[in-house]
Amino acid sequence: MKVSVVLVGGLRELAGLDGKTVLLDDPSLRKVADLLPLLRLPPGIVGLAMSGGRQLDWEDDLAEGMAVTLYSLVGGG
Amino acid sequence: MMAGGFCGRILDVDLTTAQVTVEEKDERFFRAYGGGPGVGLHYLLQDVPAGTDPLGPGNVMVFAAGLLTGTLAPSVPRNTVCALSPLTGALGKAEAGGWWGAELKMAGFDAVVVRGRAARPVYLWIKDGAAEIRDAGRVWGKDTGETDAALKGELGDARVRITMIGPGGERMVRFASIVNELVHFNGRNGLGAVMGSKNLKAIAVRGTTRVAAADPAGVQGLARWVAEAAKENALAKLLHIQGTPATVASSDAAGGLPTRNWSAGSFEEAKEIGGDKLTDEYLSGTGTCFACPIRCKRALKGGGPLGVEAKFGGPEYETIAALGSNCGVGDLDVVCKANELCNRLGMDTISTGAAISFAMQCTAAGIIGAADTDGRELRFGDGRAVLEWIGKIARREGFGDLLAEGARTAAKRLGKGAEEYVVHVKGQEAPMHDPRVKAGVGLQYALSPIGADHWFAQHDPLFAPGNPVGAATGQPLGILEGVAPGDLTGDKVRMVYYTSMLNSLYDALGVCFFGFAPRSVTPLNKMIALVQAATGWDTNLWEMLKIGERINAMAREFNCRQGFGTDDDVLPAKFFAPLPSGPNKGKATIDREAFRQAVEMYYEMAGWPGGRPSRGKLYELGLGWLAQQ
Ligand code: SF4
Repeated sequence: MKVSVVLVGGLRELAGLDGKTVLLDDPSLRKVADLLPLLRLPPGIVGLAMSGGRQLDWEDDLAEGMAVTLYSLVGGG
Repeated sequence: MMAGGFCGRILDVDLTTAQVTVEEKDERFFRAYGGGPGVGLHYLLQDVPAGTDPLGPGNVMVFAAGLLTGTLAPSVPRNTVCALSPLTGALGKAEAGGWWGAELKMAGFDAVVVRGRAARPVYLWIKDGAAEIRDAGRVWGKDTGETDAALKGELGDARVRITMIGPGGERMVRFASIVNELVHFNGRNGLGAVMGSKNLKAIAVRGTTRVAAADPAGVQGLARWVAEAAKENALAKLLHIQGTPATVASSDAAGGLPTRNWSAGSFEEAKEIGGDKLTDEYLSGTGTCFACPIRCKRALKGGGPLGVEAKFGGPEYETIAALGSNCGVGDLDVVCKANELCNRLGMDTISTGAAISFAMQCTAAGIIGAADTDGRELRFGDGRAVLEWIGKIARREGFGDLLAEGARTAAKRLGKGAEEYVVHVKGQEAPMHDPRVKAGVGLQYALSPIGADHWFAQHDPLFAPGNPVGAATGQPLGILEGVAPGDLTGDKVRMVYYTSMLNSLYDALGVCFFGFAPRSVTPLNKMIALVQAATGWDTNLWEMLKIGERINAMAREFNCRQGFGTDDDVLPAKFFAPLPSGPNKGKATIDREAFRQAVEMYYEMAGWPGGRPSRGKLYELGLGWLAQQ
């Protein structure tokens, strides 16, 4: 399945990627949570996943061609 | 200097009589109260009775370093300032990082108590166990950058650490801050105004004696462990990479980014003021605090179209939201300049932004017009106006004089329904976190003794179900299940209750929240190991959390004596209305009755029947002396 992912709030650097958008094409992709190991992001570090203005749960199904944005968990100060 | 991380000496300065004395405190005192707010409240409860004028000579200020501050324990740089707040009339308390607290300990003091009022502007000079009151006439009226340079020159030592007020504090702006090293702030509650009321411009400190730990090798070994772990820990790395400004994007996406005085939760120009843009285009690197390997502070390149001065540091999330989105401003040059001006003039960025955004909404609602604001309407999105009004508030010019009283008082005086537009608890303007997307933050806004505060407890997303970050911290506390961010059941109250003890303990130790669990690298067992190594005490998590619980009970008792009660533990009406934007748009995410019951349950957990610590609870916490008063 192909999914494009936008990494926001320091996640790009944490994943060691140059661009903010990464195209994932992997047969193991089923759920939103499956994105994290492919991006080498540890669980708990992503605070929010969104797609088309909708908040996603980790167990939500991904769909072919879906665009997902991941936001880091930091919190203000 | 005792070999236990603390000095055992408190400096007591009476500015009215110009007397300087030293009070010795034994180990039992520090074991009961820690440092920071525990020390501050110990003095305030004895010396600040009900009816004290916050800006009168009877108010007492306590500047107290954390118990571990000044040792080589990593990410433990903090000092706390306590006094009666001129903004709320309740406990005033604010923490700052940097180097000042560590320097105070190296100069041989755990805390400085300041009383009375000097006849003319003065500063306090503390060097290696001695202190003197010196004339500050030359720097009165100067901004923080000028003051820092002038006092370092006068004292002939660039390594002096100075905590000070700017013109905002001198003019007793009720949300004036205290600034150390130009980039660290005891920001909230208007404690800079209390310094101003005492004619105290600054406290300059130089210490050359290393703070002795009971087990120096143990502390150093733990510090090495943290430094190595921080290189791998994802939360610590995120703080280093982007710091708190990363929150702009996630708050915006969740519909919780305060926008145009909280009238929306998503800002169409959020990307323009977000952490990605700040990091990519405005930063020169990162700064740090005493003995911290994380280096999360934003360091600016400076310059740009508005000539931003880099030495005043870069904006954190709260500042970006308060002076950016909440004023409708989507220009990072303006936000960076506004941050510089607030730091230069010595004013809290959250309350300053809130005062200006409140005035902007009053303009939009027709409550004030151009005639009130120097001939030009104060409109959302007008970045130039934000910069101008920061100066006018600090100088108390025209309408700026009214805003300098704080948004709640300004609204009361304006009338015409303006009070509806102030988002505050106990008179303190709310930080930039919308409780409708994290209900526990609403509980802490209502229950914090200092008015709306986002550090009274930990935030909900960390403890959401399935989040391993919160689970790792929660387990040693007995929190074995995650709780959803919108939940307001007893499970959420328990999470808030336990972490309110933890956060107050952190303040007492001098811990920075960005260095320790759950938000960062150092877990609770290493925190306890650090206390053991620094103090030599055979202690544990239970005894340490009791320090946090004790501080919360002392703060509550102090506020009760100042006339505060359960009616003050409320949220602004705005937060019970449906969210205006984002994925939860249209849903009222805080239910009034559920919220009231949650507050009541917190009292029950804390042993505060009717909102006041019971006699039994005070004795249980070793505070029998308070029960007897
Ligand atoms: S984590 Fe950041 S704010 Fe905290 S002590 Fe380190 S540099 Fe200072």
